[in-house]
Amino acid sequence: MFSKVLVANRGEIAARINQTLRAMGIAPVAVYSEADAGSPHVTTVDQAVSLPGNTAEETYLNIDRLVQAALDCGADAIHPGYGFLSENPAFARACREAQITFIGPTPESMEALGDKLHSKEIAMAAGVSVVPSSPECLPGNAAAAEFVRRWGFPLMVKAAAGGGGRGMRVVSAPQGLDADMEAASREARAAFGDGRVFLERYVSNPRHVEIQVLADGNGHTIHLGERECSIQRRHQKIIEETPSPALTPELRRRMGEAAVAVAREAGYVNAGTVEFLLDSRTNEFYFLEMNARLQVEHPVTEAVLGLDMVEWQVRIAAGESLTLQQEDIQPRGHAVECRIYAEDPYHDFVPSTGPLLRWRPPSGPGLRLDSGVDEGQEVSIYYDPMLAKLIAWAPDRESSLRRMDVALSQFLVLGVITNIPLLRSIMGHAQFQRGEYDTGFLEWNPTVTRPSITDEQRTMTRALAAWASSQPVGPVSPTAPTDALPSANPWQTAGQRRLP
Amino acid sequence: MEVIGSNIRTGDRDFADNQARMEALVRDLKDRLTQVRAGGGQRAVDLHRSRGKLLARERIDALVDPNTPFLELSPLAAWEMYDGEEASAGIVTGVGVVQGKEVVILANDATVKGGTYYPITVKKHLRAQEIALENHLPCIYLVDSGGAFLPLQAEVFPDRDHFGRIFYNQAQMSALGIPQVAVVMGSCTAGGAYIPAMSDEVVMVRQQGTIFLGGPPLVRAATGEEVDPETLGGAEVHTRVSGVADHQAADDEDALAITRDIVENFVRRRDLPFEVTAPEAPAHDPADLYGIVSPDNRRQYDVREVIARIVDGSRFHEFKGSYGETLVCGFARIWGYPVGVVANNGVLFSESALKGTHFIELCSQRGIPLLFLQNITGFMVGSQYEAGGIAKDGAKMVMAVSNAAVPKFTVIIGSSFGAGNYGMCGRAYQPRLLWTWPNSRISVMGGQQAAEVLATIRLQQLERQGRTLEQEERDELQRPILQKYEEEGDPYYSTARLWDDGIIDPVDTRTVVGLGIAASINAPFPEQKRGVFRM
Amino acid sequence: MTQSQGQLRETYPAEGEVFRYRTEDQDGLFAFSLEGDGATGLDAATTLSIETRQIGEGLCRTESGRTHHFAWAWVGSELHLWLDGSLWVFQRAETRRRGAGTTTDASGDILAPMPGAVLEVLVAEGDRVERNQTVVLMESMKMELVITAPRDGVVRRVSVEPGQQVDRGMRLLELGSEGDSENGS
Repeated sequence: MFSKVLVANRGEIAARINQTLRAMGIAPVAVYSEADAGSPHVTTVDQAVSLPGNTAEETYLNIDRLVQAALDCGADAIHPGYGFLSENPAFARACREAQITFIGPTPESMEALGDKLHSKEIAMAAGVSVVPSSPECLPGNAAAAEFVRRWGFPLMVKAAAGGGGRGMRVVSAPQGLDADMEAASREARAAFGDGRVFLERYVSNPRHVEIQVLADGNGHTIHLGERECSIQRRHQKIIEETPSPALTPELRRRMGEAAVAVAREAGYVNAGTVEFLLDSRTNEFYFLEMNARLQVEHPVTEAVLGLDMVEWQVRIAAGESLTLQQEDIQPRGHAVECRIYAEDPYHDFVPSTGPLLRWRPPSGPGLRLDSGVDEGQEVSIYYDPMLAKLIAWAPDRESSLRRMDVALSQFLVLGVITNIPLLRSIMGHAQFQRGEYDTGFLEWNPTVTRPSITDEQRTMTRALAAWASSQPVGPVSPTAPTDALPSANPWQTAGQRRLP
Repeated sequence: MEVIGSNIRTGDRDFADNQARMEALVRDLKDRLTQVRAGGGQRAVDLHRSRGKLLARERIDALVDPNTPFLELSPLAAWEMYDGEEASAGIVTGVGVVQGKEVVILANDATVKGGTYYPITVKKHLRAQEIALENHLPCIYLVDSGGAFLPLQAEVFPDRDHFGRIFYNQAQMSALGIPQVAVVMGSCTAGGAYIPAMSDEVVMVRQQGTIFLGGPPLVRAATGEEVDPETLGGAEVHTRVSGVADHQAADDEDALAITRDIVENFVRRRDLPFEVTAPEAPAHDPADLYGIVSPDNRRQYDVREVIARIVDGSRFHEFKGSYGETLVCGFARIWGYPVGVVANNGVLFSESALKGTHFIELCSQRGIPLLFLQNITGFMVGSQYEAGGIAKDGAKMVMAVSNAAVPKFTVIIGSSFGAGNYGMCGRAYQPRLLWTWPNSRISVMGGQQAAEVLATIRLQQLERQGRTLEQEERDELQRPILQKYEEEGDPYYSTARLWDDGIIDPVDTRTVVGLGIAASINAPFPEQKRGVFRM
Repeated sequence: MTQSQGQLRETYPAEGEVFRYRTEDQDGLFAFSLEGDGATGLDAATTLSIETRQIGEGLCRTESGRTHHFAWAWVGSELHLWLDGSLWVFQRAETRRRGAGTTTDASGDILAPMPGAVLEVLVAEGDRVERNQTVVLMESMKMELVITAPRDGVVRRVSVEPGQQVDRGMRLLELGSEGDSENGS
């Protein structure tokens, strides 16, 4: 087993990986950009390496620096987390060349799966249906024209190297196509360094259901059940749950087998996720892509199975066999995850920045919080605005949704705007509670992205605001008279500056 | 107190546009400041250093308390004058903190023409002394100068506000108990010898500082005596024999350390004229000023947006908010100090002038310092307004401003044209400090107006001769006027001639004004007197 | 007993109008009433029992006996209030300033702030305008005056045209509210 592992990531996922490593008796080493110097993932570990700069390119996407950091601190392995370099074959290869174990799949299978076009071929070879798509194409070229003639509009423009909703566009009419292809290509080049795009048939408002798989180096592959990820904003998931209210045991078995077949076909090792689009009216499902990494939403699977996925990732990477058999996988109860974003759900989800004046997450039975921030920390503009993930578990779905709603109502955040009110509106929404939803949920229910305030709430908040503004000193102090001149004299307090 | 609500949308195109233009203006300002801070050029600097001497600004840095601000006065004096060779007019002046006390420092820059006094150098020296006198701030002269610049002696020597005034001021200040300290770090020849001689306490650097009425060449010519400078007027002779100096120092650093000891023993009496509250940053970001203020001074904006980015907590108690709306008056605090703000928000009407008069009277009665934010194209014109007595209402404001017995501060944030300049406490009305923004313009009227007035007069002349003026001729007539106003209205033209105390980065306004108010209360407020208001 | 009064305005989650209130604070009971705000149909008064736990955090019990945890902090001039998982932002005692040089009368007309020439009219009859939106550009004394809408509304009539000389106080635009235009059309 490894003795020291460098965690090449930040925020909640880095903190979460550190936790497992510690429990396994492995020393975690953190890395951090200038803006992250005070973050919990850095301050709570014994060893941390500074990455000069703030942009992702200078820091968490800087392969040479990260590998050098691992070598310098004597780490045996690197865990890439999710996002950043987690699915970057060049990074996995650089690790291999430096004789550092990369905790994840091989660069070869990453390459094969990371390319959305190639991954579809793998799925087809495994006998799994895929959404019809074009080969790689350029604005206005023959491949694009052929696809448009065959399938028409609306259609999707996707980046071959895309992920996380980036490099993705829905195009509804021919006029916008070229511009959108170029935009998607630009976005993908900026985000992934690869601007190739292709066209895909647009399946309107499907459900987004994914299957977690786990495979060891001896070809033993199992699946860990599904996660329902259909509640999305701007193609990014915000709420995930397992089991999916849309799956029958029969469908679950078929999708599980399909996922395992794809993983086998790809020769996949370690934890991965096979994403499907599900048409819940017909129960038909299509392979979308396979994510060769740990997913943000993995905790819901951990909650119903009572296992630690990161621990299995580390053990498999260290060469151990997967001792679990498919029949050992018996989910218990229901788990739901909400992503807490520093963004304004009522104004186009614009990110909100500022100091976290208050950060008091809820706690209680069946609750788990994966957080990457602390009170007093500054939420900066540099990275994804996700602050934390809150996971609730209960024996049944109704109870876990209620548990989540209560926990959200107790989640105290001041200083930045968060999406918590939106998450609460969804928890309280009848359609969501019945499990009848798809990826168009926010689109069909625009009321949840508008503030809904009762008269009673309005009067009460106004009264509390009036009360708070009558308090002599708030946490951030207003003017208080003082006789102490030296402290008020700018000649003493303005600091060293040469004016003008 | 009410917090000023901002209507600024930082996403607007205008905002971004203004911001880009103001950034360019500020960049230009910083570039010019960097340029003059290099002093008299690399060769002169090298020579100066080879003598073991510190540069003027290094001397100031070594003298002032660490981690305190230094407010330099008119760093761009003499800009583009005298063939551009008089960087900062050869003297660095400013207000700084020594041993916890605010003092005025005047340091000759010997790398600029040997630190000799050009006309603007004299003006700058006298202005620094005036600030010391008005605010009761001790003066520290770091002397290293060859005296008057002889080729221009007629503009430097004889008149009231020429060289002699320096010593008169020293005498006046000494009489008022404002300490005068000279540190002789180079030559003090002829008239220059009186700077240390008129000081309360004098430090001299051995083998470097000299004081004599006539230098060795003059002595030889007059009496035939052969003598070296050190024997004639060095530190040794003046501290041991003549008594012209009091302390001998080994080098610049030693001299400045001795000076700090001298200042440590000043006794400061300061009774606060008002209570001071804990300072609070504005609620709105001062950096927004770049986007709010259009460098095109014809574009109006709500001056409250500017006030909101200068005063504590953006709190502003507005006075007569819906009367004479083109002048915004109100109470606020800056760095915890009370201040009455008078700010232009358009052309002055009778009501605006009356309101301003009322408010200025109010502040001087209560002993509240005044801050004028000048952006004024003038008083309203037209028969209706003349008949309404706008001239006498404007005069009331000028009367109130002239006699207000509280410290006044003026910042020209846009236009400063005509009589508006007077009512809004222009240079002639003795604000304690007057600063300008890099977008500002100053002239007797706007260039366009001046050109049109001229064209109209010319047209009338021609009409009497039975001729008319073609558009082309008209343009031809106006072009040189426009050009002249363009050139002379430029803030660099203004600051070069000391019509202000410096051009500042708009975001520094709050700090610069705060420092000014804090320094001003070293002097007691004079007794309030009132003139006859024409009713 | 302490009595106070003031004005606040909600800016988040929704931009609200300024409301004036009166309060009475006695033995931990906090009585709050809105002043002259019958139009909103709100229950205009409430009494809360408030207990401070620490600076910036407290418990409040409503008349109906429900207990809520709340917290607040000042962010610059903004009061951030957290209650039951949601955030509200208020601004203190602030009346929104009119745009530079904009003068209106009670009828909702936008008047010329000073004599001058109309340079440009940027809206047409029937246009919906937002508060602070530029509606007319004027020139006077060589200054460009930006006339902005004092509130949201609909342009009922445009009374001037570009190039026209206007006197101080002359009507430039007539501004109606949303409802008027719907009734009228």
